[in-house]
Amino acid sequence: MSLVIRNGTVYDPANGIDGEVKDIHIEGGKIVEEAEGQEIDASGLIVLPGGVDIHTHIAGSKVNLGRLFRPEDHRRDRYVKTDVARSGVGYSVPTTFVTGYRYARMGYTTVMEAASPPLTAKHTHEELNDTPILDKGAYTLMGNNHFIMRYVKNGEHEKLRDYVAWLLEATKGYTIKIVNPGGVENWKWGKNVDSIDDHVDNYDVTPREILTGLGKANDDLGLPHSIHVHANNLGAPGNFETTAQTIKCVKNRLHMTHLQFNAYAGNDWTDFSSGVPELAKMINRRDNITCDMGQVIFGETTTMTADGPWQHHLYEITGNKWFNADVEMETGAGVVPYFFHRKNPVNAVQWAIGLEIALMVKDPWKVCLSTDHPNGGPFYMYPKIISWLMSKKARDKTVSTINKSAGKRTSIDTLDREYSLMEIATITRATTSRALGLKNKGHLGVGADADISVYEFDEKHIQRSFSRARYTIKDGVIVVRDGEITGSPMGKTFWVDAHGQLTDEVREEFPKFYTVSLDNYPVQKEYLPREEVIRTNHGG
Amino acid sequence: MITLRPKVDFKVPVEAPCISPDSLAGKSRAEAAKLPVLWGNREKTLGDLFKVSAGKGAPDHVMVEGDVSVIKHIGARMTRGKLTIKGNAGMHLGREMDGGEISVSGNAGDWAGAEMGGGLIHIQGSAGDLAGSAYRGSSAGMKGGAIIVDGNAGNEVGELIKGGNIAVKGDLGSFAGALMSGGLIACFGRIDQRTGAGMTNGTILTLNAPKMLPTFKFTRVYNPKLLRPRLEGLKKGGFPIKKVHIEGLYDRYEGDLANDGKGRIIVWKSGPPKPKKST
Repeated sequence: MSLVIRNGTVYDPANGIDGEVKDIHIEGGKIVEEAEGQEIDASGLIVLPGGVDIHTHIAGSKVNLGRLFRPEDHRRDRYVKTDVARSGVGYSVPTTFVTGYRYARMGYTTVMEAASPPLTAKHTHEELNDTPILDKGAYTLMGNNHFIMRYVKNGEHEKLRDYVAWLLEATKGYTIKIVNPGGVENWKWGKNVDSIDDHVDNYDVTPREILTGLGKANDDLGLPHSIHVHANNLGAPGNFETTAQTIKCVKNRLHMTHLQFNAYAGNDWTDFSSGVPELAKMINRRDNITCDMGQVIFGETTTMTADGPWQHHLYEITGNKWFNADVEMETGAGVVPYFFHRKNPVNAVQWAIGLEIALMVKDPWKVCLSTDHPNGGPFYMYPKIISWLMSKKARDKTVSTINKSAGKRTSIDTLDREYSLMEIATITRATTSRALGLKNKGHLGVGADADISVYEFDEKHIQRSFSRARYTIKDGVIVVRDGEITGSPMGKTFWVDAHGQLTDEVREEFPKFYTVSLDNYPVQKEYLPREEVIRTNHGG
Repeated sequence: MITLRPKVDFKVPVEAPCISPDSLAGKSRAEAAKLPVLWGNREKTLGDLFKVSAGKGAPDHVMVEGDVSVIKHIGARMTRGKLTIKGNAGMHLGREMDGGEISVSGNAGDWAGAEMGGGLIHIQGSAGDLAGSAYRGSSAGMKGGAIIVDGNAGNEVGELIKGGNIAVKGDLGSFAGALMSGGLIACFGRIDQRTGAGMTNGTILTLNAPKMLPTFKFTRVYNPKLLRPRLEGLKKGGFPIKKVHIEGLYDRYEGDLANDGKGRIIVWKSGPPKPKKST
């Protein structure tokens, strides 16, 4: 099917196109030089590549646990079925179908599930297959894995590299995800780590060694994305120092995720403040690093992470219902509902810190928009974040309604920077897809996947403009028209083939520790009805 | 006043949150008849299922005459006015209501007054399970207002309530006031087991000793003076409360210690102590 989008104002940062009026030609699901077919008149509208979300939690065991134990979350947000879309429920942990529809309505076409324990990778892929429209991928949790810590401890770098490659293949994963390296392992003994040089019991390694070891393995394997790091001490006052150490110690490519939760200064909750200036300075100086915001949205949400100790601590702070899990030799997890209050001094500062990150990191090619859905807030609040970034007035308006500590303990009031449309397109499309190494996403050049979003942009109503795309086009098919779902095709799943081989050592060790047999462990082909394999150069 | 009379045999459950003074007050007969309801999984209008008539009387008074025990969500989220049901009412009667008054001459289904914040529900028959409770997953049930039941009530009544009053003239099922953190549940009949399990605060008053959980601690015998006005009020409302109940002595248990709770279960013991003769 061919399609031509005529006379749209195009923003395509990857190709340096900043608001040019031009036509986009689509044929066979790709962008081409010249095509003839159905025409969309986009005069007066803005045309962007389809949105790419680098970090979100939409599928897998802990997301589903969030769904299971939050019926009250679903009750207040119902999604009514239409001729093409199924019914479902929201709010902070929506059903898979609603997740797909809501991303598409917002103009997003590619999203990455940010934490998938290898042992439950099948579950993640099952849910991703039921998430319509979107292209997806899943990050494989590796920061507290038994084999990895063992190889790091023994300094067996080649074995580490091969194991990582095999694990990515076995889980059909996209990247190396590291969550509180060493800390989750220690949590299994009731402890945590409090710096990157703290000791991981029983393995005789430090978080620093895990980070540098995996960072090197990542670059040696030539994986498309960098290591994706959720740093130690997340959520604790004063943790920006740990974050700074983490940034310093990794010399390879590095993505610091939901940085907001790791950018706190102060000694305790009473002098809780922003540590962004220091971190932004470090990020501005370095070229090996990208980050995403982890912006907080006021209201109720469900926090979920593989960081078990933090989730238990959050339960102790809030007294809310909670869930915590130990995933055998690999990782942990926790789920706790949370309410970000406008009038709470800590929550107000958290809100400001998220925006500070996007405003103080000078280069939009280093920062990605995210809420760490659903930890900071639901993903469909992204348009609200865009309005805060594009308008100082919108920020001031929010600052005036929240606890005064936001103004006093962060520099949010003094930041006059306002994002342009080009920069918004960068942090929601171009930076994310470049950081992920997705060559055919996030731009509108010839050969790119025809994932396109078209909005009616109104400067006075920025949030509304980005909430409902006029058109979302996925693989050359119109899936959203005027903010309503018109088609629900199945998206692809990306995974990385780094030519991993199962070694005899793993074959021998595995049955000693796991409750499943090695034959039942890997994700079979059947779980990926539509896949796109990214092959690396290493060893192949 | 708007009066509704069923004109069909419903056969399947109906969802009609529009039967409430908030949506019906001030509407003409034709306007009221157009309001949407769900009949099974089909969309219908109020006029399809009811004979609607608009008569004289208070504009925010809604009268339902006939058995509507398959109709759910009657009076949901209502904030004002009066709703009278002459017959049995279905599930979720007056859920999340914040004001106004509902009176049912027959029985009510489960979840009556669930998560309500204010107003009054008077059920002259019996109530089902979970009256005044929190919906599954919610952290709080009823927060204010009152549910008065002349008959019996089912299990898990007043679960997770934070405030308000629930009074039951007849018997109460198991798990009454489980996990409650405020408010009052009064039962004048028999009360089944596991009363107040996990409660952290609030009061459960009963005239007949329940089978007490081992995690409640007997503290003392006393007369709960602070509850007198509420007992007087219930007495006026026709509850079988005598002077001995108002001035008499109660056993006081505190718990649930399993949840570090400071709730109270008070059980009527005897009439007021006779003044000691001075020698």
